[in-house]
Amino acid sequence: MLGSWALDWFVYLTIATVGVTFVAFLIGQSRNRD
Amino acid sequence: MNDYIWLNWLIMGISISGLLWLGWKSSKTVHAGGDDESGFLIAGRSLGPFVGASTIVATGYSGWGFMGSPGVAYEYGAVELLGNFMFAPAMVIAVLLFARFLSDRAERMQSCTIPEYAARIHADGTLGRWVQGVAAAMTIVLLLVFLTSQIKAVGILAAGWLDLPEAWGATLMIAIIIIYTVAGGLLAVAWTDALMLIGMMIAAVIICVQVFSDLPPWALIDALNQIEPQLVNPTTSQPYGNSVGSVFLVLPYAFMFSAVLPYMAVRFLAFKPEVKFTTVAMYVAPFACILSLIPVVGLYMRVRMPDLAAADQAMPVYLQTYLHPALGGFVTLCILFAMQSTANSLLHTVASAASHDLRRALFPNHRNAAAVLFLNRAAVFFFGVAGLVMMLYAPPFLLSWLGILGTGTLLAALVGPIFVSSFWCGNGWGALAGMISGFVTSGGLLLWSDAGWVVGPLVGCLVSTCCYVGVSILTGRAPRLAHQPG
Repeated sequence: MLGSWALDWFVYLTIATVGVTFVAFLIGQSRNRD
Repeated sequence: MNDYIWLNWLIMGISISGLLWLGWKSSKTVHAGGDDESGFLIAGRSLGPFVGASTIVATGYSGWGFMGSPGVAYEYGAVELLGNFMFAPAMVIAVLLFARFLSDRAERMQSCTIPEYAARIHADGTLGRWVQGVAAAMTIVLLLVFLTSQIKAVGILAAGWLDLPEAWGATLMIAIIIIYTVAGGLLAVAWTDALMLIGMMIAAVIICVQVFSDLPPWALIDALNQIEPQLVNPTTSQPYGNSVGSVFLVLPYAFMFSAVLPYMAVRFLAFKPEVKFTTVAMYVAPFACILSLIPVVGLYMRVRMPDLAAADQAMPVYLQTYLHPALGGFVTLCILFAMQSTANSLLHTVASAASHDLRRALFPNHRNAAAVLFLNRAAVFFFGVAGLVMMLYAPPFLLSWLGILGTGTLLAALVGPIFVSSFWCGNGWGALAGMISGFVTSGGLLLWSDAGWVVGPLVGCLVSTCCYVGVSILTGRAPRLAHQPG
């Protein structure tokens, strides 16, 4: 993607971190307590 | 640059006023519970999601992210961006999967510190006091050296920025930290961390806008590729290890760092009971991701100034060369903030370990609330001054010897009693064996082998875990939470 495996992984992990956090946040909002 | 010294002093004066005001405001919480120790040690369990997330991220990201990591990126290339980034998902995982458990259990155990938590879930009486005392002693020894290094770093930077002798720069910085920490305890630390984190993120945005407006990401990668393809596509993970995958070991290390180290994990104990940690993570993730971009300065400087005498000069030279002095001054203040936000947490944790944990281990029946609060505050003053004196006068070999042991050894020592106990709770003997074996193994590997700062502590964690479980079984494992009070 960027032509650098290290920076590609940097981007993948950034997207995964933010994405997983957002999904967890939505699940947390739908429950009384996480 | 000297033309702007007055501006630097003005910016510093405003920031000092803000920090001291937050310290004064937070001091009311310390007395809210009738001088109960939890007000000073864990902010009376009053942190909301924003302040809590801010103090976790600000404490985890020390000056290393601004000064050391760009230097490593300058020397080794893109792999440092990936390695430094691992702390972001690690903090999120710790908050999402571990914080609620630790917080609830510590509240049930009436624990105000991590050593106290380790003691109460494992044993009562004399054995419990030994666990608490040993955990506290290790915390004091290993974190006091880290505190000393942060005071030195903050002193050097402040001295250059404000045109002061180094000792005066360090004295000014530690004096401010002592004043607001004495006044408000962990709440003051958390509030000031939140203020400082906002500054750190603005600094990160300023840096990224300047770097990427001059060299867009693809142009930066192309330019690095022409200098040295290893900077872009390294065939090893140096400085993290010889194999390509070694850099990913930073993730478990950083997770243990966030979940186990007393100055990080104590924050999980300080949240309001009704706070959802999924909301906390929603703040932690973007904060940490933004700060993870800062080492890109190292890559940029490798392209723009490939002949720097020392890689560590990447950030200082960048600030002098590519930013307007006023902006450079502001970013320097934010680097001071990054160091200060770690130093204040270290000071509070070391002081708590001495004034609360060691006191409870040695004098379990001493419970005069006012006297205890005085001791908490006196310990902050004492260890702040001790850190300054060590920085000025301690033999360098002693500091470097203990500094190498550092946080990695502390997390190897505490991984059994704090983390493994979440899944499989052993007894007091197992906790003591885990702490001592983790300390010796990680310390030995760091001092006398070339295992590196990631592998050494991770091997220490493994040995500590085996000893914790093995000794607990051999000595008759206690039922889980058998010693829950009340």
